[in-house]
Amino acid sequence: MNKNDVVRDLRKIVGSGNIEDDELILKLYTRSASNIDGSAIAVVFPRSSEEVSNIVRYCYKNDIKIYPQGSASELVGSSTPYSDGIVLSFEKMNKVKEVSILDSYVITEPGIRLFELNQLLAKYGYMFPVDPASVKSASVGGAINNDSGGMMGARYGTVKNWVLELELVIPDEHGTILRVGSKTMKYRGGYDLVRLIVGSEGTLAITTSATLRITPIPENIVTIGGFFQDMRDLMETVIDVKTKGIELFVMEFIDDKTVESACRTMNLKIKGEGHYLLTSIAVAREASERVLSTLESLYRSHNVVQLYKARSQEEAEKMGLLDIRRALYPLAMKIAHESRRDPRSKMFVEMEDISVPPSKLIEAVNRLRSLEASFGIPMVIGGHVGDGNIHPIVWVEETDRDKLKTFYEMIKEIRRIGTELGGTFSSEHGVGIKKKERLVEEFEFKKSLKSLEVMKEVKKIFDPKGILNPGKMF
Amino acid sequence: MFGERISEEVFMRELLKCSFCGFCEWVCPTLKAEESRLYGPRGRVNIIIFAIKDGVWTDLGLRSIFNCLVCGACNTQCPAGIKISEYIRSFRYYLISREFRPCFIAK
Repeated sequence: MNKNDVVRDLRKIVGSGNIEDDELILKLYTRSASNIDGSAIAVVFPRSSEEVSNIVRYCYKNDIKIYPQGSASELVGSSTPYSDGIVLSFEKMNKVKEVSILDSYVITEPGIRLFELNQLLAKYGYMFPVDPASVKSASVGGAINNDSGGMMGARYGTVKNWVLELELVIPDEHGTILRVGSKTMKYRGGYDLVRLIVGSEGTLAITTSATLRITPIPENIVTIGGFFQDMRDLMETVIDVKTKGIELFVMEFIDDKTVESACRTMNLKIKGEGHYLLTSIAVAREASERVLSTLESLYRSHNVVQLYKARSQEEAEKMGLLDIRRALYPLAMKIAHESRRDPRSKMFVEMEDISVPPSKLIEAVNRLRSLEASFGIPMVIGGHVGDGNIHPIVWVEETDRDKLKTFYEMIKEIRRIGTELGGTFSSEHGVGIKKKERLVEEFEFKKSLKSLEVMKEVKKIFDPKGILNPGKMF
Repeated sequence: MFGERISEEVFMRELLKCSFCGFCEWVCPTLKAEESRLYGPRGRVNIIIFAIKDGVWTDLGLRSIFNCLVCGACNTQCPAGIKISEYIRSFRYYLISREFRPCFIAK
């Protein structure tokens, strides 16, 4: 179909202020944090489920591809339009429809940012406990599509644990609106379609409304941060804390290179040398000292060099105990840009996303360090060590053709470590375009390629014409 | 540096640090009003990149650059440390001095 006709027809559905085909806008909405640029014929801004349904019905009839998009802060290309179609931006569907403290849920449209949702919930003493590093940018819809996790993942897991009910539009001839799940904690009505959609990267259905579980903000949180000269000591501390049966709130680490850069370039309130381990525990206020003391003795038994303690979240923030960990990605960006040779070239900074069972953490870190040495490409390491999720970050200059090949070879090896140690290459960032090959390899490794066939059949049931976010995952 | 003419090379050197993370957006007053990425700091940074690096420039780009309040809230959020509002201000100066025709520099 002619592009102008499509724009004209869709304008009739959403109104003239809610569709754009300007060249600059198209470039802006076909880019994401994944570093992959795509293309599209128009960007459409629906304002209701009914509009989404009408758009989908039109696209189905005319074989037009649809790419749903939240804040495009994802890292694997799952929101990038793979080939010409329309981008469906949910920026204008950003309203919170209902908050129920008694029933412990919030009903919201997909376009609201997680941070803004939590600002609202904090007024009630509640939170939606999913906090990816991109929390200030990531939208609810994007977090659902990606099954996002974050720093509190050690305690609360990922989005899939926190979605009760979804309103969806599926890409069939009617643009059918489905409502799956319920507002209750317990629900056993047939197959669990809610959890099928969560993490499906927008390939099965379009989320237009979500009922999310919420939880009270803990009464108190104690935090301890310490620096270790030896990564083995740090990892043994992690394993020791976990085997003591202490319920983690946050457990994060960053390596010595990132610590050095942070201490050199940031205005930090704490200083140290070596690898940094941060542990937070949610406690009743009366138990604060006892829990801190237990943590301190565990840290000290593994040769911690410098140690900082906070008796509340406010104190931890005032001391800057979390800032140094939050800076992992920005610091990697900074270190990468400091090494840039051509000012007009972009740096490809890849944050990988492997998970291993915590008992394999030491082996995983050792293997990552060996890769850094053998490939000769710099790497920083950090992540959500409490749940075994490590984010190795590597970088290369886009114009450095010689190194690019080595760079991609190294990334393949990094991903392999997750799979081979009983974990995965994809913990919370998804598959998108970038990791499709590894998805096949992981199932091959598990001798379970049939699983992929099942997934492809599921895709056909939801999306018989293959018009919804095609080219992703498979 | 700001307030004087900045070369295309300087715009590129600094703005290509943008990783498209979008951390800068939630504080932007014009983005809240317009509800489109085009009218936020991430949009504006990339509009300048598209103009200079790719030679793409339209009237909507002009509107986006000139409806920024230059409040500087985004500067405090950028993980790459880009002084976003200062580059937007400089790009306005650049545009005016070039009669609103940005210069495309081939890669």
